[in-house]
Amino acid sequence: MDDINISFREFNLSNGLHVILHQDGTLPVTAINLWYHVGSKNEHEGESGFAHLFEHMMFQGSENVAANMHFHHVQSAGGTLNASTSFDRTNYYETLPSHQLELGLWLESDRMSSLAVTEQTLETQRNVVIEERRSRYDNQPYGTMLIELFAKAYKLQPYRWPTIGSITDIRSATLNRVQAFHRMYYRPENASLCLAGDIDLDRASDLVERYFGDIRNDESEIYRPFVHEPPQTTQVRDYVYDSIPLPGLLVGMHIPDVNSKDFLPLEVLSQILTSGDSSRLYKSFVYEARIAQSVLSYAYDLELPGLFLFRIIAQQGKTPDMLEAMLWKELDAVRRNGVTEKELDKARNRLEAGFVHGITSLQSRADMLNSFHTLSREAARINTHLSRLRAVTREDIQRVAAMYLTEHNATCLHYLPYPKQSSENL
Amino acid sequence: MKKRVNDSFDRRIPPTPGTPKDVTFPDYFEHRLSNGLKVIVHAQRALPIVSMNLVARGGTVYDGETPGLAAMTAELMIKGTADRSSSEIAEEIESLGGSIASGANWDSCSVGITILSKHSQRAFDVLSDVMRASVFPEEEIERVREQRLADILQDKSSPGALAWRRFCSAVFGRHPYGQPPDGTEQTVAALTRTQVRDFHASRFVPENVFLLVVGDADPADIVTMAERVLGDWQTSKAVDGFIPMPETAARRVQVVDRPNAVQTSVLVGHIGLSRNSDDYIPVFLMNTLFGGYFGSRLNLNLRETRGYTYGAHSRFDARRQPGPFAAGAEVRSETTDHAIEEVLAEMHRMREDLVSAEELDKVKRYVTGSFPLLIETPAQVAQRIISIELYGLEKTYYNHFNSTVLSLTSDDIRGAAQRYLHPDSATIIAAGRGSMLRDRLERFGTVEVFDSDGRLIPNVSFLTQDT
Repeated sequence: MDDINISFREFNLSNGLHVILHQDGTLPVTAINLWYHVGSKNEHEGESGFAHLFEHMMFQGSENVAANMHFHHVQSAGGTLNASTSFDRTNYYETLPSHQLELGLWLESDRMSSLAVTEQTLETQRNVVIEERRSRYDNQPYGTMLIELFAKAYKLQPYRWPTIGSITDIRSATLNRVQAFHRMYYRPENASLCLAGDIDLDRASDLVERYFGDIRNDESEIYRPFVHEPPQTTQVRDYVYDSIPLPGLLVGMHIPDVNSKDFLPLEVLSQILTSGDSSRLYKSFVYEARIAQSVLSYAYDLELPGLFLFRIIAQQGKTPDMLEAMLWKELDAVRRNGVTEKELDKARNRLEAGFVHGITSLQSRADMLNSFHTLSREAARINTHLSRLRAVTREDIQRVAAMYLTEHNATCLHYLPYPKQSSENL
Repeated sequence: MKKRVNDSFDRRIPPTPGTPKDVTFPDYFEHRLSNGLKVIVHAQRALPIVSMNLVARGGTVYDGETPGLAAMTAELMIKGTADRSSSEIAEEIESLGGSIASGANWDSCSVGITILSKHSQRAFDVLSDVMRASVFPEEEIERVREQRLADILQDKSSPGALAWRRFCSAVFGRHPYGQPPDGTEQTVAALTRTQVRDFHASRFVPENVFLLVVGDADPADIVTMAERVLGDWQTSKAVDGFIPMPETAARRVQVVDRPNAVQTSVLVGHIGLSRNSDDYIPVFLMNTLFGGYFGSRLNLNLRETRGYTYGAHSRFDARRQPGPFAAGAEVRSETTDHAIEEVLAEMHRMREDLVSAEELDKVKRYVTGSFPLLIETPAQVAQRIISIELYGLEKTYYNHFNSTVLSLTSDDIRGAAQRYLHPDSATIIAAGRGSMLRDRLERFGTVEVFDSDGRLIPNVSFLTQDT
């Protein structure tokens, strides 16, 4: 397939704010996408969840925008908006009718410059975030699986606590810390702004300069933990009981960071193992042996070394032990014999189609450009990503399987339904 | 601390917007094959990807006495034809980087392939094959049955799914809308190959099916391809017709007991309206203001003012027949009764007070301004075209959408609320810790408590006690 060609202009303002402009006038709409290079990784022990709680506070008012008026302004202009926080980064985004571009720049620049939050708005958002944690994790079957896995797999790296945070830590967040966090991380040189859509490139450059050009950087040194786990030499195992009807198996293996040469082969391998009904593990676990209800794998693309994840839910009457036995047998086959050219070809085709599909909307294209810039320091990878994927060979895949998908490098969690209690049987 | 050096302009005032540009819904291509099958193409050729879908009118609503029939039939369509086994179908499409999916919802069954456009021809052959020549092998039926039984079991631990299922049952009773689309353990276990084959044959007939192609495609090529592969396809007529709706019931207050819950899933609502109702757009705008977006009354009240929840929403699920209206949130357990009171109070307020010009203007600008985002990608345009087809809307429907929204007045909004929001008869469902909820919900009416299997618990004194 031909490489895709997303054209864009890229520059830094004098204060260090990175700017990416991509023009596409198909619809009179512009996506504004702003990444701050800060996530839960930058938190200290005992303040887990702070980066995400802070993201909520960014909607609670700044010097010229009253609490909740951010939402009001964007939605009244016909725009949609949201934000998200993960281990390595926080993003904020609006999609606006293109004649409202300036409104978005005004809002984002105002909250990059200042926060006007109060004890009362902080208390409300603490409560909202605690309910968010319950809705998405604690009160969902299998909802805490990843939290448990990362906590067991990491001893040192700050990925060991979840982005959502612990309820105790969320409750103890203070207003002083909110302002200090804003000063340290929400500065122009730690951010990347992408505008994609119906824009005039020169005018957009001028507007960005007008709204963001005079924002200063704080002089403090940004805290960026650079901690690597020591190599894992023995398997970590544990059992977790939860309100679930079917048992599950969760396995995580340490893998290198997203920019390592071994990362793309791992991503391709994950595709071969579990993507689609004709993938290896779907066929063996779900279709042929019928011991699993679902099987999923994922190579976490993180700045510090991440995990290769397997999440397998058992079919009725089957156990995590059975799932685990089959997983090791399948992985052993990959380590010994590698994958076929046909499997590799299929994985490439599917990754290509998925990548193209994944940048169909303006907002997703803007997010991808910012992601490549922030995590790999190269926005242009949006156009070379597919050829890099194409370059992955069968030898690469067998090598990374043998190196990382091993039993001693694994953390294995068996998820089990609570034993029946009489009080539950009404 | 201020981080800015100086300003060359007044930042206190929001910038003045430029001039808005018009957005029109794309004019798409339509053609009828000699056998009556309709072909629709929306070409959007920026990226080399195409999505081809065969859509049959009528879905889960025709499940009859076998809830789960449409869903299972649709899933099984891609699990084997006279020429291709289930594995071969998956392998063929996935090798080309594509994906194939099939499914049913209330008003349609469909099967579709999304693939790089250079593989259109081969993908279309597979698509036609699964529609015309599915054989529903017994072995595949057993596999899917086993998977679906496990899914049903999984749903019993999901608070949202439990609350929704109870809500539909309470509001719609024996009407198909009151039955679970994925079936029950009993119906899925009993379902036969004959039922699946008959259901498939009753829906997938040329006059009842349309082919919808969006993305990187040329209409003339698609017609040629469709005529070649599907032109000789002749079969009987599809079943049609409406199923009598239940009378609007009096309020019911029902609890689904989840002893370990750390939150309550709340739903408040009743029967809503059908998709082709003349009131649809006024009701849509009224609901957006009430609970349909982040800036809605419901969300600002329950989330931003009170911090009871991560989010509160409401929705009219408009189908071919009047579907459900439900307002809901997942709330901190201790606030459950307060949250329900607020939902009911907000419903009353919509019916009684005129919305201010400012609030009306804000929601109009949100709805009309974000309209382009509903037609940004080929998949989104496809969704809108499917609505036009299934509900008999005008082809120009979406071009009048914004002007209709802009023409509505505060009186229209209050009128829509008075006709379509009924707080006094609204059913109330709460999934959470039964012992606590029973006491807290008594003031809304007689509380019935169910277990997660849907069984009424006759003597609530057996409920687990909080410690």
